[in-house]
Amino acid sequence: MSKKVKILILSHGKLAQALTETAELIIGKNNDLHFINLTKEKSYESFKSEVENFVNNNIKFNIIIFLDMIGGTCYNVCCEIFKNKKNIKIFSGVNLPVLLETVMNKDYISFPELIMNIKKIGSESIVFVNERLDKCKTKK
Amino acid sequence: MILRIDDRLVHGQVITGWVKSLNLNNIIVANNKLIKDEYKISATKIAIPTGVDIEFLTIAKTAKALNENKWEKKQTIILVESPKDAYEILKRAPVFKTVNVGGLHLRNHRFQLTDNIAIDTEDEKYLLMIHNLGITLEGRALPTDEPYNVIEVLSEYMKKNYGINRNSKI
Repeated sequence: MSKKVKILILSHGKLAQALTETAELIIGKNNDLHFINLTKEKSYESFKSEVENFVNNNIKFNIIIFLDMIGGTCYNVCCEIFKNKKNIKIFSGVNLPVLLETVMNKDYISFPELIMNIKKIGSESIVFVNERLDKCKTKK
Repeated sequence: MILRIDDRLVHGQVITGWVKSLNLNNIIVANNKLIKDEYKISATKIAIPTGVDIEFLTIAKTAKALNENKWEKKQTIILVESPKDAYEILKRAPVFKTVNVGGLHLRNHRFQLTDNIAIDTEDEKYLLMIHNLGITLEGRALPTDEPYNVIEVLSEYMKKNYGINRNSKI
C-alpha cells in the first residue's frame, strides 16, 4: 500500500481557493485537498512559510503541488522548498479536470500511476471545441 | 531596453506582464548572489517562454556588457533586486534615462510607500542617488499601469509623515 497523497494548490490571487471550493462542489469535501492563496497583501516570506508548514506537516505523505503557472512567485517559492524532497511532485497549469481526476483517483492507483495520469489528462484537458465538432460532423 | 528594480526578479508580472506583452526576447538577471546558485538558475531557465533568452550576470559584468552595447539587437529587460544594485549598474553604465521601480515588497524595516513599493532607509538612499544621476524613477508594476514619479511620491511621503521638507535633491 503506498503512502497517502495530499494535494496542495498554490495560485496568485484566490484562484487556488476557488478551484478547491469548485472541486468540492462537484465531488464533495475532501480532507486531502488544500490550497494557499498568494494575495496582493501577502509577503513572499509569509507565503513561503505557509507552504513550508504544509510540507513539514505532511512530510510522511506523498504530496502533489499544483501551480497556476510556471515562472510565477508560487513557482519560485515551490522551487526553493522542493529541493531534495522526494515525496513532492509539482505540476504547473492546474485546471478543474486535472484536479477532479487527481482527487478521485489518488486513493485507488499507485503514486507513479497517478503522476502519469496527471501528465496525460493535463495535456488533453484543453479542448478546441469547434475542431471537435467539425470532426464529428465530417464523420457522419 | 528596460532596467527594472524588483525584489522578486523573474516572476509572473515580469514574464507575462512585461516580456510577453511587450515582445521582449532577452532577460538579464543582474545579481551577484544568484550567479552561484545553479539550482535556482535552472529552475528559472525552465520557466521562461520559448524564444526568450536569459542570462545571469554579476552587476559588474552587466555594466560592462551595457557599455559594449552587447544587447543592441535584442529587446532586453534587465532585472535587479534593489535600488543599490540598480545604482551600481547606472554609475558604471550611464545608458538609461528612466528606471522602472516595479516591485519592492514589505519586509523587516521597510515602509509602504505605494501599492507596489516598500522601502527602507538604504533603499531610499540609493533611490535618491539614482535620481541625482539625472535618471527618472518610474514607479509601476505593469506596463499597463499609470506610471508615477517615485521621487515625487517619496518627497510627499516624507513631508506628510515626518515634516521633512525635502527637495528631491539632497
